[in-house]
Amino acid sequence: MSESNNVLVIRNLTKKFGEKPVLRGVSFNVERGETKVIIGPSGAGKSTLLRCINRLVEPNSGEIIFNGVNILSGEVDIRKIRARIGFVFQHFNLFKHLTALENVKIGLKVIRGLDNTEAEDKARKALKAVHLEDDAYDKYPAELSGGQQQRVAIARALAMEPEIILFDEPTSALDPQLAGEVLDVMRDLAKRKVTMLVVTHEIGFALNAADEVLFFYDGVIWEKGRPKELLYHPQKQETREFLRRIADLSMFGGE
Amino acid sequence: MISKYWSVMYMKRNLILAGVVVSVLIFAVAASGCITTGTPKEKVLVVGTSADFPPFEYKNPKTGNITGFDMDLIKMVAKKIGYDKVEIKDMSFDSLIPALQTGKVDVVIAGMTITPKREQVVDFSIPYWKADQAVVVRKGSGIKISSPEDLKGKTIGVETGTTGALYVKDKLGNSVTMKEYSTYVAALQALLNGQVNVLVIDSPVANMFIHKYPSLEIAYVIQTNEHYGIAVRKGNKELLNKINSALKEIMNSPEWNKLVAKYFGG
Amino acid sequence: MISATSVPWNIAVDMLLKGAKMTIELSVLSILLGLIIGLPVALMETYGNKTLRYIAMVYEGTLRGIPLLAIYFIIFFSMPLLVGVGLPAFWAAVVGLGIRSSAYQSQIFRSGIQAVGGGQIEAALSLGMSRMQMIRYVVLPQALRMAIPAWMNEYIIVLKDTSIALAIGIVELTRQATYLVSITAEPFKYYGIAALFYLAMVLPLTYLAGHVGRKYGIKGTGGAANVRI
Repeated sequence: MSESNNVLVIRNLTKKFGEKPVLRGVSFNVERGETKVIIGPSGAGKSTLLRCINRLVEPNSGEIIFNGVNILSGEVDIRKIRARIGFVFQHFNLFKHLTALENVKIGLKVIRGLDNTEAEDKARKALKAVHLEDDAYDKYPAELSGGQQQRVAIARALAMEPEIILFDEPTSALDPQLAGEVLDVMRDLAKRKVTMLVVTHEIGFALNAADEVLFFYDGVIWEKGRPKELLYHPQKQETREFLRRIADLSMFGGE
Repeated sequence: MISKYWSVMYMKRNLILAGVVVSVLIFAVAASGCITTGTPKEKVLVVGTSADFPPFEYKNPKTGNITGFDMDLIKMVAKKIGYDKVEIKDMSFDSLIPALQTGKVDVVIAGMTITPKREQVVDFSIPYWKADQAVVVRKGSGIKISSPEDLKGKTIGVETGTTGALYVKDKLGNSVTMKEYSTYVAALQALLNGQVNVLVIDSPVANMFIHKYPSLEIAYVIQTNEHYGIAVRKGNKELLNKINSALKEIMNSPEWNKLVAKYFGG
Repeated sequence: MISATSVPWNIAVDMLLKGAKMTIELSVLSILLGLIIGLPVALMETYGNKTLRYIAMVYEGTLRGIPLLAIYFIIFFSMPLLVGVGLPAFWAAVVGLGIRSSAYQSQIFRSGIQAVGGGQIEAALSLGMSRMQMIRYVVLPQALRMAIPAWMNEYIIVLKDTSIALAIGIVELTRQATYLVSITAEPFKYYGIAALFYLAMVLPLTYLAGHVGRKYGIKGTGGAANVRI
């Protein structure tokens, strides 16, 4: 595994909230074009981990090396870094005063400095990539379904042409039918070799689209492996128990 | 769509804000510089008053000017002591003494009674008017007042902060029920609708409205020997002496009688 | 002999209209001053560091805790003694009413800003926006529009509170009515008419507030709050 192929290298990341340790030495890599999925018990710190990567949360110690640069060091311009890392939130977080199209354009205009025509162009391309219905482009978030909103959120991240996109439980706030359309888009992106780091409970997605699955437990990466291996033949006790609790694997064609 | 609207609006808003801030600053700076009107060579006496006390000071609706006995008098005084112009500043009665103390006005003339309490904070001229308190009742109410004693047991309306109120408090105390009102008009209404059966109010004021309300009459005049004075800032002896000389002259001249007749009848 | 008189109708109306004009001038300048100060204070209080937040809280807490009349007196009477420079009555009134309003407006804007919600802020920052960009492109466009109904309500309050300026000599609507009342001894008539004038100024604003609130409200954020006079 050569360093230069890694978009993201996390080394020994720690984070405490008050006395409570949430990240106790997390280490893993994400290679270019990979789709990496993180699963684990709720509230354990997976969201915190993602938020450390673009420094919405400041970790206590460790290294986060993004394309060769340790972004935790003082001289780094975090805004420029953030513009190269996409983030898709569990609750979509679209800008409520802007239409779907404007939501996707705003980053391009304000941060990339594109003029209106170029921004519009790229925005439309991104919205097409998430298969947004034509009549939804000029609608406001309040007028869109949850699935549409999340797809717009993905397009908003995509349009910035980031080097990696982080997904924080992107379908947890959606009912199964709407979740499906979002997962379809994500599978599409994975096929197209967009570099993705996804925190999710959707085991199906992990099976179909992930290159590697990480089990996050007790503040560290407890176990990892290729999807079929980790999910069907987990080595550790805790991994087994977790998987038993959240899904009946026979639903996914297991053995 | 809306975001474009907002970025244009944001620029416009910036300009408008900047414009407002600049104008406000300019006005404030310009305005704070000039308090007196008139050309630089003119000597102006700034007079504080509260134009809600006819016939001493009130606003003439036709001309919009503040006129009255006090206003005519102070103009005469000002002329005599060498001022070219008088500038009248109207404000609420309670603001007058603070205005004098902080130099917003040079003198105060406002039907203001000379009292020991006020003398602690301002200097008064010699008295220019003697006022009494009138006792006003409704005709036919059967109330006969032939001495202050007859007020006992009555419900009396007064105007807050006036010498009438003080008189009733001090001299009559618990032997009467006293009700205070913020203006003489409110006290008047109280008498008219029976909330009080007697008013104790400055006699010039009583004389003024008694014509309008034929159902009321002045039953008695209490000689309270109140005196109105012109107030100056404490320690301003120079101005005070000038005013006193002028007043003496005026009060001993035929002009005085003319002035009194104009506002109080012959 | 001057006695209680009646004032011809047209003259009385003329006086009251002059007063109304002064009322409007005072209120417009004051509300604008309140806006110019209030919005930055709201931003300071929400996004500032500890020091800025503290300053903002002390500012708006004090000004909301002192009666307006006291503020007028301090500016008109005390300021010249403390600071050496004074303001003419009109500007003292504008400044007094303006800074008090700024304290209330800062709370109105702060509500609006907080209503925008942390999620959108995270999204804005994740895109790579600076704080200023986030405030300008995401927070303010929403916060200001959500603040419209409460803001118009504040304007109505300011308009009515201009009457307190009569204490320092501003001849606004209520003072004009007082002149008429002291000459004619007819309080019901003239204070009544003055009240109608105030209503005439306030009711269109109430309607406007509702209309603007509906038109510019952001879809999905609960619509315009009821404007209470």
